[in-house]
Amino acid sequence: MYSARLVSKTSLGSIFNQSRGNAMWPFSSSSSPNEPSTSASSSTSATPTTAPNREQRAACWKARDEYFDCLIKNRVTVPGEEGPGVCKGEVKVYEQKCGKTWMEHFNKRKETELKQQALIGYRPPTPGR
Amino acid sequence: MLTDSKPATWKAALLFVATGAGLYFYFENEKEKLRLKKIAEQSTKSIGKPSIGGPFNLVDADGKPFTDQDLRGKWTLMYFGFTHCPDICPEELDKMGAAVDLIEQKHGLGAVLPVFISVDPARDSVPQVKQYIQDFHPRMIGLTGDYESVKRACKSYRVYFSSPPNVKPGEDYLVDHSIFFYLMDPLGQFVDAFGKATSAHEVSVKTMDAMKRWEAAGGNKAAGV
Repeated sequence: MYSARLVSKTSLGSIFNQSRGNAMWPFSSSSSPNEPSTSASSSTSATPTTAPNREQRAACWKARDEYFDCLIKNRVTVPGEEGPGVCKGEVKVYEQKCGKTWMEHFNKRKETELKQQALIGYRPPTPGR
Repeated sequence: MLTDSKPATWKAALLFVATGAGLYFYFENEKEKLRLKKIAEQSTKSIGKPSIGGPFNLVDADGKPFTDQDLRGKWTLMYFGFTHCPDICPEELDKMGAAVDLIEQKHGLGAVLPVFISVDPARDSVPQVKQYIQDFHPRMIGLTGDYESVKRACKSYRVYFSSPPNVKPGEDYLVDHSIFFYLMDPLGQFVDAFGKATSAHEVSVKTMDAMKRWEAAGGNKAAGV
């Protein structure tokens, strides 16, 4: 059984405590001291309270895949641990399009996937340009 | 004498043939009845099947009350999810829609109804669900409700329900939920569960098989729906 992960209480708290007037999911991004400083805090205006529609989901997935491709190219195995200056542009778009909760969900899943691949000695093909 | 017994022989022969024919047809009839009975049992057998399904009292995407009785007489594919779901729900709902399309090609529009039931009552309001299902199959039914109703529906369908009871506005979270969708027969009985590994084609084949067995056993008329 595959299940979506429940967000941990700490990250939830940090999102909530950082509440600004119009900071609502999914486009509010708040960087708290707990989080790795990989993203400049950019919150887009006009935050919808509804869930993303098909186009918005597709845009998020595209941004996510581009970020992951960048990680693979740079041989980073843990999303979020790529170090300063690596994949900065990609992660910014990724966060903007997907929101923090989804990002954490995708990143956790990717990390598990990459660990499993490393275990069996699988190297994903380098993404073309 | 042989000539004296000729008519008797004919009568005897005829009786023999008639009895033979009668017995043959009788046994064939009994065999057929037994076969149909076996089919009926198989398609609705309750031994060894999980007791998934039951009454629920929810609200559809137009805000009207919708209960399990509204699905009587119809085949349904039911998916439990939430609108703020990152990728699994949309993928499974798309797959469900594709399966419904395949089935409708053979059995006509509305042969199987795709149903989406929210497990996130705090955020999935009626307008939210209405907007969400617009992205999917045109005949998809979207259901939601208050916390207690959704919890009860999840219990009936043995769906893991982990939505937090008190959610502050703007709070974001993901809901743990199993990602199967269930095939239910016109009596609201569980038939099969399809997971991530099952393709739309397989879903359509298994569903149409179940529908065929149901019809062979007498269909809705025999079931009384």
